[in-house]
Amino acid sequence: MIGFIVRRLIGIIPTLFFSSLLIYSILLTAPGGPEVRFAQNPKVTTAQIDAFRARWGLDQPIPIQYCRWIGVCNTRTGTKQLADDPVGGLASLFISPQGVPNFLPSGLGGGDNGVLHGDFGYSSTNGQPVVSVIGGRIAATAILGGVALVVWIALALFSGVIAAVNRYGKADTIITIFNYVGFSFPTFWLGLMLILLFAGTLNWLPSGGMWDVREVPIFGTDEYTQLLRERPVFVLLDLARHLVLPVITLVFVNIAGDSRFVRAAMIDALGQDYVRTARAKGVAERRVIVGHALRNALLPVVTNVALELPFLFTGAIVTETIFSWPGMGRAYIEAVSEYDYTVLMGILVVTALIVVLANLLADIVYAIVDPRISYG
Amino acid sequence: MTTDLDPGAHALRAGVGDVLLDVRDLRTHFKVMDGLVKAVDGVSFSIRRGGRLALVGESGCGKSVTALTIMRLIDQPPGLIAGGEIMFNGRDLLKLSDQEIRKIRGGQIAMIFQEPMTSLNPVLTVGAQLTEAILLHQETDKKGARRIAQTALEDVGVADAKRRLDQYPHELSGGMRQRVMIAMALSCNPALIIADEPTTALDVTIQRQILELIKDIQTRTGAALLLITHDLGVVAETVDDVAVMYAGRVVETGSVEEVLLHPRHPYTRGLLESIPSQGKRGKPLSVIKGMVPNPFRMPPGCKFQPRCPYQWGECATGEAPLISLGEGISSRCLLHDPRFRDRLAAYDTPMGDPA
Ligand SMILES: Nc1ncnc2c1ncn2[C@@H]1O[C@H](COP(=O)(O)OP(=O)(O)OP(=O)(O)O)[C@@H](O)[C@H]1O
Ligand SMILES: [Mg+2]
Repeated sequence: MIGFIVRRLIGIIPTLFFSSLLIYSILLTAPGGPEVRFAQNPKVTTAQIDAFRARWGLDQPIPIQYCRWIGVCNTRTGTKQLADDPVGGLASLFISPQGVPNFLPSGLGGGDNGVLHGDFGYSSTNGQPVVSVIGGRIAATAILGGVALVVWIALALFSGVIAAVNRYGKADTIITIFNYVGFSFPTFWLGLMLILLFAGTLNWLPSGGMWDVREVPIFGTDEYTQLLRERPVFVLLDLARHLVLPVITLVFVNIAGDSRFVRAAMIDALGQDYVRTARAKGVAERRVIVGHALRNALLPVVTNVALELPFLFTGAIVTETIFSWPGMGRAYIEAVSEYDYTVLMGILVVTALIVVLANLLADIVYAIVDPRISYG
Repeated sequence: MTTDLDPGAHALRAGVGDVLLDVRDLRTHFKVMDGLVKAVDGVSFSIRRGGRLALVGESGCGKSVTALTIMRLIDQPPGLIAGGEIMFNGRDLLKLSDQEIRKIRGGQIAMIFQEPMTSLNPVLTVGAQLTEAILLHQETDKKGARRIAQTALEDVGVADAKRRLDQYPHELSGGMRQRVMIAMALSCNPALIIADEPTTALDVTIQRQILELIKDIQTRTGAALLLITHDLGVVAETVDDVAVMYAGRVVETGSVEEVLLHPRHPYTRGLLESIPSQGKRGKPLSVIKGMVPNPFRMPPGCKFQPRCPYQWGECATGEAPLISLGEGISSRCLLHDPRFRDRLAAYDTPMGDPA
């Protein structure tokens, strides 16, 4: 099992490398660059723009820009400097200040810049390290996504099983209609309607945000953590109130696929011979459904859910925007609108990593739940 | 027929009158898109306590549906038990509540299915599947159930039973899985074992072993056996009585000697004549002409009439009931209707068996 996981982990390295190349190329082909945000500003001169480009290394050849970002090259700039370098020529670019190849971990004397060393650079709009910009956002997204996922899987399993057991019956029809309605709802419309009803007309729930700005400090700060420790019920209740509407939106719009998937897997399982065997043993129907059919139906469902995990990080973009949730999705939208290339690339790389890890997780979980799979 | 028959069986049967299972005029239909399939439409037979009966007939004649109806395992809908009685130990199984029938399933009536490869749950260990039934029907705890399961596995000739309990079905061969199914069936000491073509999916050498095992278990435990098969060779070796089915009906019943050596119904005759045997070497094999009737276009009279070499005008319109001919022998053929006694005389010249 351990060997299997290690082999798969090694296997994801090339995948990640190619996705980083791809992300880089796609952003390059997009018109403009980080300096585009000055284009509309008449006060910014061409000389200032050139200086900005030089400061961020945007005047370097593109392969070098990539190598620096990824961490294979060091960050010394200027071809003139290079010519004076003792190692001489281009080769010196790949050598860390300690004189060993730059891509090695900094503990071994490698460089400390670039994605390989956990350095995603600095936000080109506010100068903060990308890691700290994204870090807090990941936590916020994980909370929203995690809660939504739990609710959504529970409901998908429940509704899928009920629909399968009552196939073509009343309950099945109602669940099917509910699924298709949810599936067809545009997220933004549903979100706005929920806000209108529950935050506007009824005034039961907050219309957006993750905490009550009047009572609770900013999420992720030490003050927030301290208040959480002092008054956990108050802070968590506040968080829960803010979670209700975005979670409903995410679940309602996204449950259809999984609910149908569970239904199909259950119908398949219920028709199998071993279910008949269980009934022939005198096993009660509820136990036949849960202990025998669902146990088998879970195999494809588990894989499907694991593969959907990344979607919670990326797919919540619209929901996070509507409900002003300070998560990855909103950070992504902000980065795009502000031409914050470093943050954008950071988010894309993290997303790629999540996708790859989710795939790995799907394989591992499948191997665990299905006794027929051997860790080849 | 050259297969050896046990002459003692007949004498034994004559003395015992205690009926365990009595199926009377059972009708199980299915509502499908194209109409109503009358899969079982008039099945009657009975099994004595400790007796052995084979239900034989061509594929699709309703043998499995009959067995599943006895177990009340027909999904309704699309299934519909349209009529009949299944008296088991003096109670009509069709009138029991869901909870009462669950106590009988696996406890008093156990079933062995045709497909050992798919009949065990792939994600549960053999032990878990065996103990589940034991815990349901016997007063014991988990440990006790495991012991009983292990004994049951040993009883059916599974070597290394203790280790097998922790294995998953995919780690066992087909024959081994069928042994597990048999162990499951016998673990709760049922009064009746229904085996639905238990050897069809296995290769020939294993078939023999499994059949021997079922016979052995049956004699040892004294359980009654309802064996479903289309292999008449198996019938001759395994059971005392036979019920022959055609198009959802029982068309002939009788002791194994009577049915195999003196078949009453033309369909049974056709079946027997189509089996290759040593005595018939060199002669062309006869087959029953024509096809099994389409379930949506059943002949109005006798269902076998279109294929029957002995049919006459009456057969196309009138269908005989199962006519009792004494000693448990019965036939659903107009030839045995007293009105047509003269025709029977011509028909009744014994079947050509040179042996
Ligand atoms: N669930 C169902 N829905 C509709 N029709 C069914 C259903 N189950 C069985 N039938 C029909 O009932 C008839 C009898 O089927 P059954 O399985 O009892 O045959 P069988 O005698 O066991 O044949 P075999 O030797 O092939 O096992 C078939 O024509 C089949 O199409
Ligand atoms: Mg069958």
